Amino acid sequence: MNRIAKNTVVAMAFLMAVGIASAAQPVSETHPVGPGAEIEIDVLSGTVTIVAGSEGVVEITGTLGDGVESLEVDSDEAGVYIEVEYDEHYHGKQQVDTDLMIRVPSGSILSVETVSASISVDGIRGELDLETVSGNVDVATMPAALDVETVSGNISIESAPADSDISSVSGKIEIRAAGGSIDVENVSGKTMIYGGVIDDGDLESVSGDITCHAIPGPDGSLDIETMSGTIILLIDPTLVASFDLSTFSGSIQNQIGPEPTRTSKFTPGKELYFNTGTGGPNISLESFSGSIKLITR
Amino acid sequence: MSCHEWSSCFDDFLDGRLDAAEEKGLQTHIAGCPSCAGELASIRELRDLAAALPRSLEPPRDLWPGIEARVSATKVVRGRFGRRAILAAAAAVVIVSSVVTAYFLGRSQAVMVTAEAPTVVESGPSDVLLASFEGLGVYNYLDTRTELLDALEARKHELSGETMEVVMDNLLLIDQAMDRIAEALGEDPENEFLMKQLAGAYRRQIDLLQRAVRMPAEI
Repeated sequence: MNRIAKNTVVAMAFLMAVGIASAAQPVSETHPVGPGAEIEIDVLSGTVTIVAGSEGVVEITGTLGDGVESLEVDSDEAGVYIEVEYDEHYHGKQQVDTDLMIRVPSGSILSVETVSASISVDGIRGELDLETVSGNVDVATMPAALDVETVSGNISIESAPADSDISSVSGKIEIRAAGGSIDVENVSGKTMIYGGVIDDGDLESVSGDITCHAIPGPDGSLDIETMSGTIILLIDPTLVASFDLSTFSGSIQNQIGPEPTRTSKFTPGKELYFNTGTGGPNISLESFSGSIKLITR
Repeated sequence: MSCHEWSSCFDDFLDGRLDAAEEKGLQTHIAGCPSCAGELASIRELRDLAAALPRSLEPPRDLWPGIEARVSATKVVRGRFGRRAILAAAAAVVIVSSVVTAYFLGRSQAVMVTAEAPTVVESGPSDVLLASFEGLGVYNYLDTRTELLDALEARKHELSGETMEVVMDNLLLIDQAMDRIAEALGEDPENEFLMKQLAGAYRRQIDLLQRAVRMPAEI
């Protein structure tokens, strides 16, 4: 075989190998499960959408994209483990993403881990444990309990349940309605809660801004702390509560109570304690250098 | 058994909870499966790292009740945390930060040249800050932070440069805040507001380091 022919054969073999690895592979599988099944999903990149489907069965449909070797599924009555296995030797472009649609019984307990794959969940009433590095997380309905963690991915929660633990490093956290006990931690990303009545709220950041429109119930409490982020709490002017606002070097803007006082003649720190009536929840807003704004609606 | 099934036995294996036949089966599989062998080694390394962390790693969620009690309890605490001692310490050190100063001095070069996650460099907290912590009854601050920074350094190859930068930027921010609070405490050593601020900054720094150490791998 001459050199040109040999090279052509080598090139064709290479292209065929790449072609195998990069071809989109359709997926369609069903697995029977018992009530309250635990569903674990492990995907690297692409998208994972989990929605409520028929009782007693888990359906997996979608496409396995470039670089995927296989879809591994282990299932029994108690649950299903789904993992996308990647070809570690594949170095081609990711032209076709892995997109999975997984229908599970609505009462399932769900655990999803991804690296860059986005996670969308809709209609699941069981506990959710969602973890991703850079993928976005979107939860459209209220689960029994919620634990979400991202590094840089954004988090959007329609309705946070009574037991919610949500954290990110640099991702944006948005919660449409909060309730019960909610714990939110961010480092540099923004945190926004647009409404709801909470029993026990604990919102923290290092440099990220925190905006909260939710208020604690009559026996509840709300603590918001940041180092350099801005805290904005919007409340009804008729809210009866005890307020404790303090900052080391930031400013305090208060639309409903007295002016803050200096904490020490050696620092620009300010603090402010006041009540807007008898009883009510305790609200604490604290920063190091970030501004604190207590604003009426 | 598949790799996934074997991997579910790793914790039991490391805890010595597998029976002889299972253990032999796992060891046979590991010998022929580099992927599982690597995963097992990672788990073993993480467990060793976790075991080596100080038991006092988890700081109390709210240090303030204890601090308040100590502040109001005895003269001994106030004496140890006295103005003179703080001022002496303040005079002896330059009150500019600690965790990441050295990191920032070399950051741009390191990032541009190597495009790797930057290295955590510990230059140590100031004496005045340590004195302030002792005044709060926090005696293991240095050990705890050093352990966590070491753990973060060990993991940096698993985290992206962007993530490391966010973590280090925010650690620096907390460090600078701590130094400013400690400086103010040097002037006003019995100021409860400042002590509370320092306790809060301490908790946030340890929280951030713990989170960074436990973050899922990106690379």
